[in-house]
Amino acid sequence: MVRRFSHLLAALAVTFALSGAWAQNLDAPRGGVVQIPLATTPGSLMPILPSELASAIINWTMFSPLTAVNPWTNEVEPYLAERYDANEDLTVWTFYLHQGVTWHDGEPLTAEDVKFTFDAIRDPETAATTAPDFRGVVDVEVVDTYTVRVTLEASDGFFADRLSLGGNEIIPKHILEGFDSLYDATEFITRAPIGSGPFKMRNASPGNFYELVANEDFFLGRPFLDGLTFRVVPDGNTRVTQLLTRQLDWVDLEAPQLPSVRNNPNIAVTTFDSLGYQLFAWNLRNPLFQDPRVRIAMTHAVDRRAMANTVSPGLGYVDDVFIPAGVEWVARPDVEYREYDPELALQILAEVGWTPNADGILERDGETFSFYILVDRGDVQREQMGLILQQYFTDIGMDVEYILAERGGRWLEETQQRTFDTRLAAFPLPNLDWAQRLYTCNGPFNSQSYCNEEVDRIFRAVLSTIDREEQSRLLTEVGYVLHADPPNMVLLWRDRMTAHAADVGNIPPNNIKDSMPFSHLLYRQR
Amino acid sequence: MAVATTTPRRPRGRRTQWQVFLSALYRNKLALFGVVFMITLLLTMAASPWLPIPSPTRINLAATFQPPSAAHWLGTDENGRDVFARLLAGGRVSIAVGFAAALLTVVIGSALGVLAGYFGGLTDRVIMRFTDGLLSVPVFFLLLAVVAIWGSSITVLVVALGFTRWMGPARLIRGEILRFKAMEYATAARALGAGHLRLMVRHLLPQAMPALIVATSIGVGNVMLIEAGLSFLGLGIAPPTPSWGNMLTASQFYMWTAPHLAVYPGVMILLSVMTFNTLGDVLRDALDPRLRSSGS
Repeated sequence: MVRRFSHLLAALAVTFALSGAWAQNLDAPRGGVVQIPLATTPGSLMPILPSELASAIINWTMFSPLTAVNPWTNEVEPYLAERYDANEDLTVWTFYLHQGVTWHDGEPLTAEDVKFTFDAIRDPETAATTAPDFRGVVDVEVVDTYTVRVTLEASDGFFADRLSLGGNEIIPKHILEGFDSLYDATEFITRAPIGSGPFKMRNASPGNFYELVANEDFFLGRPFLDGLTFRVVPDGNTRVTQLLTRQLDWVDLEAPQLPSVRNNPNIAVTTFDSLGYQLFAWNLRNPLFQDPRVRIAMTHAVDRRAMANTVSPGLGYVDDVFIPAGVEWVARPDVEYREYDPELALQILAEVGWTPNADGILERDGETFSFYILVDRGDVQREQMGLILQQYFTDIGMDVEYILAERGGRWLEETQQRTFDTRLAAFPLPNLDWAQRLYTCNGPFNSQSYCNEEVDRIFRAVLSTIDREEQSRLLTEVGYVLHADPPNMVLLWRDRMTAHAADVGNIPPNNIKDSMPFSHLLYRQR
Repeated sequence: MAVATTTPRRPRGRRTQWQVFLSALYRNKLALFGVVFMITLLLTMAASPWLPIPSPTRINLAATFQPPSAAHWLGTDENGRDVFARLLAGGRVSIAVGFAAALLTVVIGSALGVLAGYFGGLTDRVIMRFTDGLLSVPVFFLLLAVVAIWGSSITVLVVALGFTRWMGPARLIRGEILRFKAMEYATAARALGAGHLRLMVRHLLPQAMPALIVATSIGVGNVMLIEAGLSFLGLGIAPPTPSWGNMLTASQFYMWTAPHLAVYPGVMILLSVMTFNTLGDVLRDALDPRLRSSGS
């Protein structure tokens, strides 16, 4: 089975590489509608409010961010901002907006809207998802109708990049300024949003579907499609079935679902580097894991390649570099992969003082090596990897409990309060700024309480330059430090797949969500 | 004064209850098949420590999705675990949860039913309105809430199922008690000085036993089905402990590549639930003299 997948995927990759399938067709036919699934009903059609994946997907088609990641190249590009620049020490960023942009109701979009949006994100009452990214913002100033200046308290070479990551799309001041709280705009949030993106809402039926039509006046050009329809389909297998029955046109595909679309001439499969990884995180507040030698020993205790091949046959890779290979401009540190070697693991643990007791459980000074692995329910890969990890650790004499918890319940609570022993999680690194969020002492996503002064120093240097070569050199340097003092165990750098109706064009080699800012380029062959 | 009670002599030619049961079982071929299946399953489970089968939780990444073989009688799953061993271990959990929860249901239900039926009046009204109130709550969603709050373990499941499903047996027993307490033997026992507790426990409840046994048998099947449903939604028995429900959940991801992984636990759930339901029918036929005399 595994081998069958691997061959098929290798063949797919070669096919795409040879055909240059990533190229965009900018002279595509107009017309048609593409149907895209949402796993849940979007919680909020106002992009800056806290939301989930479904909201992020649909909001990106209706609202415009200042910058966006090109889903074909993974490079950040100006979007609503025609261009932007920063002063020498990267504390003042100026954004120059496209002129003549209008909201879906015909009103002009100006720098006032940008200031309104950024101020709303900074307002603690809003509880915006991206509020942590705006912690360093001192002032947002309207320079003229189409120019906005953002002043930061410290150098930040990634400020403009960060605006591309979702949740920072610009919202209309003229509609929302009348509300005491953005949460009062219920009609806007649930069914009648007004944005400036390539598509606008025509008919919302929360829980069922959302019909969007092309924005004829979209500032990057009228979309090729006449419309997009988002259907709420919670189950992954049902989504694939609906692709086969032409009720959907583009779905995420998991490896075991591949045979269902294989050899179907009406369906095409796209494979791509997700730029994210599945990881096993130690809570470094727990003295059990504070010695890096223990973490290194545990890494040797797991056959990560066999595990990756089981949970994701032929899709993805494992290494001990904490930056995805897909970010090609960063040089890879030349570090050794920690091979599966349980004998070596036991030897290192013995050096630290952990030796098997009469029951075969590792013990030191009367304390046994006991911990639990917290896994969030719903991600099949992580659920499976948690069980496999439990067995590997048990095999070297650790006393390990596997706890499957609701993602929105205990898993999130323990993550936020940093009370877990160890946990499984996925972390996307769509942009290298995200590395510092995870690995610096005060990083907003550093829930494992990792802290290494050297890493912090290097990341400060990374943030104070926009010179890509210098950033690359520094990030390689970080790679060596992280390898010696691992913050987590890389389980799988994920390759992902989507499947789409073969007559839909300009499907980027990316996931559906991150492709949405460029949904105006999708087209349907006649 | 001691009340002398003697077992009424069985008239010549009348069959024992056991014979009646066997005869009813023999007539109901589906139930007969179910009982044979369940006995075989229970015996295999009991003998499993001595059978040459691997551990149900032992993962072997070198042997995932193996076809049936001498080493793995029903093959292996996505983690290389032995499917046959997991079916047996899962069955132990599913059946144990089914029996424990059904028993708890019946214990709570009969206690409240007896109290309501025996005392009548205000006691009856309070207990029955409370019962009606709980009956109006969709049990499955109530269970979802309970499991979401207290987490999913075997104990939580059994207690939650027991406390959310006792209303049926309570109404059933109340009806039986109302019927029997009006009978002469109950009046006689009362006249001979039997107290409330003695009347309820020694004289009325045993008469309601046939109905209770039938309710328990059917209850086991229903509870197993609910457990499977909860586990399928990820809220029942949590991995690595196998249950038929969570085996189904895990297999749905491989529907396209290894559909047989869903078939095994699915068939086990089907057969077990069918067994307990048809067994309930047979028991009712055997234990209820009215049905017996009418020949049904």
